[in-house]
Amino acid sequence: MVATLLMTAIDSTLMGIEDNFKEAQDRQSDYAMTMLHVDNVTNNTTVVFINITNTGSTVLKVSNIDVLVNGSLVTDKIKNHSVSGSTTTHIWAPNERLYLELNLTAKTGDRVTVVTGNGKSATGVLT
Amino acid sequence: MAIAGTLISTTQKFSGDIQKKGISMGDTLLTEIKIINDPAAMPYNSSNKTLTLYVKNTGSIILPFSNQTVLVLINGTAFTNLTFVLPSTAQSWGPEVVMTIVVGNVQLPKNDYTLKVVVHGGVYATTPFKIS
Repeated sequence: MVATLLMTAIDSTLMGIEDNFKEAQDRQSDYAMTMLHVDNVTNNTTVVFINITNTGSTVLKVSNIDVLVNGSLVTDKIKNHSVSGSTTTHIWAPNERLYLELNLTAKTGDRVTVVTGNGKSATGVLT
Repeated sequence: MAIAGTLISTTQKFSGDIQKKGISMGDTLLTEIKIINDPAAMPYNSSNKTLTLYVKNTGSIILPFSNQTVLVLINGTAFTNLTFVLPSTAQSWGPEVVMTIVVGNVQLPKNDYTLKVVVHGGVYATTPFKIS
């Protein structure tokens, strides 16, 4: 009875920890394989245009992207996006280019940082 | 008989403790954050003495946030005047949500610093940054 109680508790606890450990490992692996490159950042008077390439080997989601301009979070200023020309998809696969339009006034030399859902980032400068 | 009863109740308590500890360890494994600030362009307001941090939940559980559960350290000194702002689209600090943390009463002359943010379960993220 005593042994059964203990074994049940230990068994279910270890299984739970093992699942969570595997999930943490997968997350770390995804992070290591995530890479992105800010190809260019341009603007007109009211809009900032950003092109970024997924240079890693993980599939990213556009809906989880964050953007900072000169250190301030401006994700809510994203008004349009496209992935390799498609405006309907939110899947950003390896070697595909993401295009973002932000309703924002900016100037040459401003720093633009793009952050993925798993926290990997790349920075470019507005030219 | 009494000894057997005591043994069983002790074992039950021990089993419960093992499971609680397991859940706690599991939560820690599922907790992860990243500081996503641009370290070369930190939003520091020297007039108001506020520093704005952006901390993304990159784990897979909802994180609690308050002055009691989140700790911000700059060069090892803890700052307790914290204001938490969730995006208008988020109900909680869930996975992939960026929490804005405004640190008040912080004086940062031009220099290099190390930032550490500690959350639930002692999980933390660090980043160097500069004020120039």
